[in-house]
Amino acid sequence: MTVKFFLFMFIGMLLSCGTTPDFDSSLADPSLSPEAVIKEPELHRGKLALWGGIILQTQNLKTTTQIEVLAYPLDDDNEPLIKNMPLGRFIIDHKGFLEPMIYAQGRTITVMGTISEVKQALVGASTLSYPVLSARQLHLWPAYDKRSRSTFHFGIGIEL
Amino acid sequence: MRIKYLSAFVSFAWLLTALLLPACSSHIPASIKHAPDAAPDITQVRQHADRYLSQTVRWGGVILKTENKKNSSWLSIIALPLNKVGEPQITDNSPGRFIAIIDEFVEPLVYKPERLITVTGQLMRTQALNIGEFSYEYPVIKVDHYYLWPAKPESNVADYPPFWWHDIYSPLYSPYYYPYPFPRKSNLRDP
Repeated sequence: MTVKFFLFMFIGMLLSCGTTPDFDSSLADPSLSPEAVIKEPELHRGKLALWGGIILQTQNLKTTTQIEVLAYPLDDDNEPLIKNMPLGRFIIDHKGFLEPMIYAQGRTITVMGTISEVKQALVGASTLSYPVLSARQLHLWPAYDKRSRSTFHFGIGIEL
Repeated sequence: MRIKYLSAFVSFAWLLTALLLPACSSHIPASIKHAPDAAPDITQVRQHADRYLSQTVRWGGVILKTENKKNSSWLSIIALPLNKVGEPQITDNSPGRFIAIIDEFVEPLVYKPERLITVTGQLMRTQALNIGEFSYEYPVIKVDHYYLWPAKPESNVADYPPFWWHDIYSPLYSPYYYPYPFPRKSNLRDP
């Protein structure tokens, strides 16, 4: 009896160990992809999106932080499935400062936010459209091994 | 009879462990091991620096940059939470950045980016420097004591599968190449 109880407790503890962020995904439209927003920006402005992917670049602006992300489909825990085909790029617009060495290139992130605009930027010689999400909730996924942990990746132009 | 030997062995092992454990951490200087009383943390200092001027703090983290000035060395550091003996813990929960001014030359090839350091010293002032376009107020510490934590060995080896993965006598062996499916533990600790 007690053994069963402890076993139950132990399994419960194991399950609760994983960091699962509680995004209220019911509010976001799962069919809304970065590509769909680029096609009809006016139609989707102000809508709530739940997207995630790999950080490509983090830029600190005067009062905000802009994170460029390569989007991937999300699993049931809203963690990006980075082995799938990417869904396009988008930009997270966060009010305030985020440490660029932690929100670093290569880290996985999930964000819930409202679609504010579609921005144009150059990638190589081609112009790319980026949907911009005003972040309401951010979750940086833990880096599991050294290869994916680029928390202290010093290739980026950070100056002091 | 056998049990008696076993218990003797167990108590000997315990004794050995007890002797070895303190020996492991004895190289950490006392000035780094013990936190000063009622020291402010970085978040508090960045909000109300004037309240904490010339207070003694013990902060540590990852070195971002080392600059050798004429008579001193300036280290910019991304702070991390410290454990009981003052060692920075690698997590994503950084309380912020700070600058440590050491009154002597430190070798920039040793005190280099990614190394972990803990310092004690007094809060002198804050200094605004840009990170991108963001004007960041760095607390500036005049360092009394500093300690560079031993570098963890490179974990390249740990990224390889265990020996039995490619061992033809192993029950898990397959003649077709399979990448090892489990993430190996690296030397970096995760939260």
